[in-house]
Amino acid sequence: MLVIENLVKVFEGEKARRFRQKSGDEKPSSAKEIRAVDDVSFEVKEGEMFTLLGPSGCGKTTTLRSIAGLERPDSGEIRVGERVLFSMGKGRKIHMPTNQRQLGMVFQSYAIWPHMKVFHNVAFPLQVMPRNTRSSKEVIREKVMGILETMELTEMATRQATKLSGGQQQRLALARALVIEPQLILLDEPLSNLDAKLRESLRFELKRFQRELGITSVYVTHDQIEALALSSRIAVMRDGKIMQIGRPREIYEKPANQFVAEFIGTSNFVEGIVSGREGELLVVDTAAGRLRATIEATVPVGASVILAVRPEGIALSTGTPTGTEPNEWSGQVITRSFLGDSVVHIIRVGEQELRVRAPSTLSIPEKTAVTLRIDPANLSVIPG
Amino acid sequence: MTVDAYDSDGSGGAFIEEPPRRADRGPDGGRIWRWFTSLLDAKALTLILIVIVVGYLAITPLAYLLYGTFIDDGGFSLDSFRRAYEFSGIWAMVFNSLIYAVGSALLAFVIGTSLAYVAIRTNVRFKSLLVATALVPLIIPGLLYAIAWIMLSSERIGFINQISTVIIDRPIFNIYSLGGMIWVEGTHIAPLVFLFMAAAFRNMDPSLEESALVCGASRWTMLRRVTIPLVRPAFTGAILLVAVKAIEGFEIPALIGLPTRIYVFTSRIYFEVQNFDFGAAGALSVNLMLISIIGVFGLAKLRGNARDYATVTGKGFRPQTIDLGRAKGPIAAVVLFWFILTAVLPFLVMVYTSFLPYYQKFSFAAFGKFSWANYADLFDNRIFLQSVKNSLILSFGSATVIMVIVGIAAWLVVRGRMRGRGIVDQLTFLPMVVPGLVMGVALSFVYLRNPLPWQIYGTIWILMIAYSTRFMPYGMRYAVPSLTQISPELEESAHVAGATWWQINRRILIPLMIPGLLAGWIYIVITSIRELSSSLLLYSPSNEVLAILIWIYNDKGELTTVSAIGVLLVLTLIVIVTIAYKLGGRIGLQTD
Repeated sequence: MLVIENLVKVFEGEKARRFRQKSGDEKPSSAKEIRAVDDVSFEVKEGEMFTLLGPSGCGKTTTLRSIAGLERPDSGEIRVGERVLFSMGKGRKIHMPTNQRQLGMVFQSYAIWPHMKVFHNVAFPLQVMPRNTRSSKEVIREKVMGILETMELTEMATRQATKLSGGQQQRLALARALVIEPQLILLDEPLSNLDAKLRESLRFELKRFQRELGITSVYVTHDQIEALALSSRIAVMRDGKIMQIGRPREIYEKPANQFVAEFIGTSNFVEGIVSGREGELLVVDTAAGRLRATIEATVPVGASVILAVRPEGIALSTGTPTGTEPNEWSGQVITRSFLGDSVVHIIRVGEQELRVRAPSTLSIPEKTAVTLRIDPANLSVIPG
Repeated sequence: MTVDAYDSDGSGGAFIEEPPRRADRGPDGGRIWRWFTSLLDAKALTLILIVIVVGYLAITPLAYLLYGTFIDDGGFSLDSFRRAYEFSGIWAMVFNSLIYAVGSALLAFVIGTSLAYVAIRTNVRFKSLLVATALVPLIIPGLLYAIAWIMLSSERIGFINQISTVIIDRPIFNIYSLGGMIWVEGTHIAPLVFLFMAAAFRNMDPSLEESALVCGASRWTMLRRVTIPLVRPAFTGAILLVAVKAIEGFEIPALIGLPTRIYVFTSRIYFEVQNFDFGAAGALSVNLMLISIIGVFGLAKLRGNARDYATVTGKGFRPQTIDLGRAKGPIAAVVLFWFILTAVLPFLVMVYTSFLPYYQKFSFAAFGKFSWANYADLFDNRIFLQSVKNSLILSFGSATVIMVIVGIAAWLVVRGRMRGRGIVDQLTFLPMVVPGLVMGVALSFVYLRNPLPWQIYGTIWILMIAYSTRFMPYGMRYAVPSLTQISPELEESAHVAGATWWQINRRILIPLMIPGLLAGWIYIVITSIRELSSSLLLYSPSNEVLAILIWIYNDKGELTTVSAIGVLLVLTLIVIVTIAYKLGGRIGLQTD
């Protein structure tokens, strides 16, 4: 459906400086240009909700704006179905103007035109079509009322667009993006300006519309929870490069590298060296003791790796190790903090400190000796 | 090749299936070709046209002024400076200018700052009166204000001196003096300081003062060690602003200073022009402009530094007000007195005179001679009717021309990605450093030599050009914020929705910018309808405007006619200012 190949966008001068500022890079010695999008390739399938996830300045928004035509990349290719939107350095030179790309886009601020009524906001994309393809007034009216009904905004049609609630504004922005029945819609952090409660309910609503209508979408966010909850697939980006592409569960459970593991929730990392294999378990020696991890790929003996485990992937109990289970460590509680639905303990094991999230019913006082158990399936192996 | 592409990253127009670059075009051939064809694009044409118009308006007057001043008989010469500075009173003139500017700036500063502090930080009575007096310069133009004060306080027949003669048996006020000039100018521009300082006091975080009190400081120590240092950048800014205004001002030095030969820069320039020594007028103009440039740049620099004082320029606070206690009554009386002195009295003396058959001392007997004759005569006066028409055409016309130009120029500066757009920004602000009278001198230099194929000198168009140039910076001040406050996403979403550059402008940008542009339009109408200092050097018979007519009748001593025109003008301005306030009130103060 949407194919992006080897996309590159370089910022220079003032733009590079602003981009760098946004990404929190304060090194003044950095080069004059910055590769905001650096050889990015991915494919979005029909009906998918594909998310670009990463910290600010990782190039996700630049990628999205390149698809829309609001930025002009330096090289690479962007195709939607049969249509080539952009191509440079691949034997042809194409840069289709934004207004001819026939895409839908929902902006961070929703970009609802404050001087128009709800109806006219939605009708606008139909009204500005080239004269030879423009529908008649009656057809436009019919189409607009149709999409307003889908978005449950029929009663609001004659209201001033600024008089809508947050949720209604999101539906209006969606209606406007969908009214021309685009092959693809682009969503640029549409939930980031809302407060936490509203964000959660709108997230579900967005997911429902996307699934029900089967719209192919590209979604940009820096919020990993949003990405996990909404997406069919996620591409995690950093410094203009894609770090990992996968389904939400894959990204969360099997991060391909330390950056993805750290960015998607807080993880514990333990460094070690592979010492062998026991069936489907990989044996890794670490400073605090031996760990066994479930992994299909073959890793050579002697390779140094990092094992990642999420705070909720470690089981905690008082008392001493039984010696019967694969990954058992003894440690000592350093500190704990009550978070309402859980209690986070910091446990010292040898030189290492691990973060363990226990159910709120289990709260162990400081300096108590405890036993940690890690299910081999909860450990991800990241090449060190 | 696609036209009207809305290219947000500005790397040139959009292109589809461009044929591979031919070798014979050279390495840059494709690029130059693309640049050339983009010229045919309607959007690019509009923008280039605007750059040319702005550049023409801003640069030609200055270029011709410098040329006319420094080039004599085809060679470089400082002769005009020699002629300008030869006259014996030259040092007195420079000294007078200095005293006049500093004196009226200090007077305005003391009055404006005290009233601002009282209005913002205390529970004084008549607060709304204080705000109303801040509008006086918008409603009573400097020309009328000066004439009103002449009528109020000329040595023998002034109303104020009449009272003092009754009480202490001698006149207390001689308007025809440097002190009189300072008084009139200072009280006329004090509201400017008031608005400037009111903003500074309003934006100051009161907890900074409160914490000083909590630390044990007395109110006086707090004022001295916390409040004043915090608003010091605003102090300097306000003084600089009004000093520049005073030294550029023409009406008051001309009306009050010329009859008694107290010259300052502006009135001396006028004197030289009347003697047809344009070279000397140019030389003085160049000097005056240098002073003004230093002032304007100082202000710009100061405004930059002032950002460091986050508490002064930050978001608004609700300042806690100080209880005046026993001082409440006396201070309220001072406020009332100020309002009567600067707003009520000047207007009333005009109303009084406008009903008289001939100008005379104030007396109750005169009320018996009141008639509408002066007003009736005006409507039979062809020149008056013609000048009303001219004033309306010029102020509405120049306001419209300016707002169209700056609307597009603002887009170019804020949203455009064209290289050198910063220069366009600078160009639109350039006329700011040219005092009105100097603009008149410069434009007469331009159109006596006329670079355009049409006759401009001696027609109404020269005034149109003068107003459009002078007030372009004010228009820009309204247009730029009205554009920056529109989120670029509103345009981008229209573009993604399929709209072309023209459709985005017509359906999104212009409707959203209209309130700001309208406010600027009204402000320029108000400012240009009373323009005198440029017009005086550029008008020709049958092209008079209202301000010129007032000037001419005042020159002839027909004060009753002057007063009638003045009253009508003030009433008109009250109506326009009220409409502007009803429309949203984003209107500034006269900076003319």
